[in-house]
Amino acid sequence: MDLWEQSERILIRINDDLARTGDPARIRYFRIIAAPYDLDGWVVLPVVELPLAGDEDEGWPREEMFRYRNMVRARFFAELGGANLWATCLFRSPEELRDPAHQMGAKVPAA
Amino acid sequence: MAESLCPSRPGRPAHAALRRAVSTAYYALFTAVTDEVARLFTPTVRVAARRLLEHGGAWAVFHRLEATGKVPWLEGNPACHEDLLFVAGVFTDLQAERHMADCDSTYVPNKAETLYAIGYAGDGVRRLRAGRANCREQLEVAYLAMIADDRTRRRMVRSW
Repeated sequence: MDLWEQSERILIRINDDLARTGDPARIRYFRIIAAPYDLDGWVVLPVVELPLAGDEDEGWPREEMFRYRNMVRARFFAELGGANLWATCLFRSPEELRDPAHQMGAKVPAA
Repeated sequence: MAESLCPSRPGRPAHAALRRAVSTAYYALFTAVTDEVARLFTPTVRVAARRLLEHGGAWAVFHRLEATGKVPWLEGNPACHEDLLFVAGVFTDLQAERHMADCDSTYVPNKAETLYAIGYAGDGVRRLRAGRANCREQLEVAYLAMIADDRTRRRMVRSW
């Protein structure tokens, strides 16, 4: 199984866990890019859909975004090892994700 | 500087301003790391020492620290101090975002994420400076590993 398929499966399972725990976040899209500066490795970039608590200018609490990023990264490190892999998240509101420009990467299929 | 490009007050800055703000936030943290590397040396050689650090070397070290949670260049492979671990996560996140902001035309930034990057960079600089007192030994060996090349970095490993 290649990195793309492995990543997709991990993201589907994360979405399952989020749904099971009543968490409003869902990973909707993802892509994989080469690590910067010609380093030997890959960066997985999931796009997390997260409802805004207030208006657009307030965004999300920094601690909340930090928590989701750490959770996603820990899953990738645990399941694929961290030697040549990095994972971080992009965050978009449901309203933003209606705009195709924000739909960055391939859609994460439902389980 | 990054805050002036993406102010927290209401309004939608242009995408170009958001991209520059993300890039500026990363460079603020990178500059703070180069300052810390330079502090290993006497004041008269610090200007030259600052130029030793490269983005790729810093990424390689911070990535390894966060992926393993250990400091392999110290005897006993100790667990990474929480300040250093936090900075490692911030640095690698921001470096990936800066790469997208500067080099990826398909990346569309948003304001909330840009404000997060700015705040996160500020947190990273504060934790880096706090680390001088809290985990000096770990930071110093990490800085040495950053300015070493890959082969030397492998030779520096004390235990797995």
